[in-house]
Amino acid sequence: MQLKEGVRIELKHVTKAYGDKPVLKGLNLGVEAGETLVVIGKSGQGKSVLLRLSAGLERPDSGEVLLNGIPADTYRNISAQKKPFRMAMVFQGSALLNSLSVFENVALYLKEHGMAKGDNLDRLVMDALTSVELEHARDLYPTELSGGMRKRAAIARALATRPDVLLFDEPTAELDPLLSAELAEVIQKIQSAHKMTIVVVTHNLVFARQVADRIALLEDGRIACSVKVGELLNAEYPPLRAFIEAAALA
Amino acid sequence: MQATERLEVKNSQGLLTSIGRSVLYGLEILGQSVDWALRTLGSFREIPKRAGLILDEMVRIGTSSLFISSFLAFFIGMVLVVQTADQLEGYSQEVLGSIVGLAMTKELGPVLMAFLLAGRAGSAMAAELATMQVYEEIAALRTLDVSVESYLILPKFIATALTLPLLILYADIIGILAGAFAVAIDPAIHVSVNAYFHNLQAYLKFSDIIIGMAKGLVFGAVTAILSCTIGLRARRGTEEISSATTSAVVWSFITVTVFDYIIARVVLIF
Repeated sequence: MQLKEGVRIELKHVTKAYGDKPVLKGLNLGVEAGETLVVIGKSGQGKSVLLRLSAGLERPDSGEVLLNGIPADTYRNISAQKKPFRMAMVFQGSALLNSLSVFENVALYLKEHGMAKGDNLDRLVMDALTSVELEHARDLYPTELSGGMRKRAAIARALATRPDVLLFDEPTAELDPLLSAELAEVIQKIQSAHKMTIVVVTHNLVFARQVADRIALLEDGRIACSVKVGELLNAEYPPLRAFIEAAALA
Repeated sequence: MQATERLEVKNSQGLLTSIGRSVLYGLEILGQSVDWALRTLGSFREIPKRAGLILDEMVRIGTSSLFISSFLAFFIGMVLVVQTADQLEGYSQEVLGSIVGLAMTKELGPVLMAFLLAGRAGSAMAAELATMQVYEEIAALRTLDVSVESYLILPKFIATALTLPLLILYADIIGILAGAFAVAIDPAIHVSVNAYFHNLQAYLKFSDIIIGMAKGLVFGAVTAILSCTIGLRARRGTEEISSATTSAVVWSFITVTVFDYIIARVVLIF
């Protein structure tokens, strides 16, 4: 497949509240084109909200979310054929459509927008399934898959869109350590095959270290610190150290 | 204001507060339904693309409702004959055919089938969309640039609006035949089956059947939009799926009844 340039993502002074509860409180974050950023943080800190804002699925109360300079909600409203770049997201619970087989789930984007048909569609879908080693499950339905297989099918569905940006929401949730390691390998393979911008939110620091170029800590509605993955173990910021020690990395 | 005072104000459950909250909730559902309806109408050009999905939905709705609608229509037809015959005891029972025919085609067929459809298909639609919303499948569709109104709502809207009139026609036939069956077997009814059908033919107009089916078109469209809207309002947790199911049925019943009155008034004007 063709190498991608990636897309720069910027969140500037972003605030978001649900009812009386503020979740993001003036968050600033930049993700470079082609970079893999992992955002870690305790549960309920707004990691998934950050991702949904980046995907243009929700609007910030104030501040800006820009994708190569385009506001995320503007980007979301551009038709598939006219989008200047493609963004895909892998959801925490995989979010596969239960009424469709694995093949149909992966083919959905291409079929819906008339981007491929016949043998070409078959080839593109099988390429995506092969890249996550799921070609044997093409005719199965999501309810017949294990948690790890569902996650890989969701990644294949995202890859079939040939994205420039790939967002992962808690990819290791509900996966055992072996499946998490397997998933990290899949993401590493994607990184080496496609130069795309990847943002992962997780509270799994072991997984974060395996896939990240840079790790950012989300705390109290803001990015409290960010370090390159090679510098993680030397980080001195107390909440990040607490994370490292809790994950028994040091 | 102190936090405790704010809490007290928020939790106060006076009668007027409850009424006000219910009215606001109703208006919110209504507004959102109109919004989804307009967006769905805007995607009508995609009907040919969704023909397969529409057909699947029609088969699903039809097969899930056919047995129960036969049962319901059959006994309603018989009850109508028995009750009406009892009221007409001492008068002429010759009018039984027209009473059963007009009641079934103009009122009972459309409303009962609409209630049945709301209970079976409407609740299933609300549960399906609420599940998809809670498990982020709707969000996933949006990231794939798949239109929710065109891919999910349009097929249900068209299928329900087309299937309900057919179900009504079916119920009309079953109800009228069941009435004839009651006439034939009930010793308290002193009119022949021939006279029953003769009277039915004399008074039941083709337009009565069409008006009943047209009601079905409106009731079906309204039920589909309401059920989809309520399903899509679900946000968190599986408990919202079950409450969406119940709400869809209740709101469909209310709205069908209101539309039934409106259509009846409009038809009487003309």
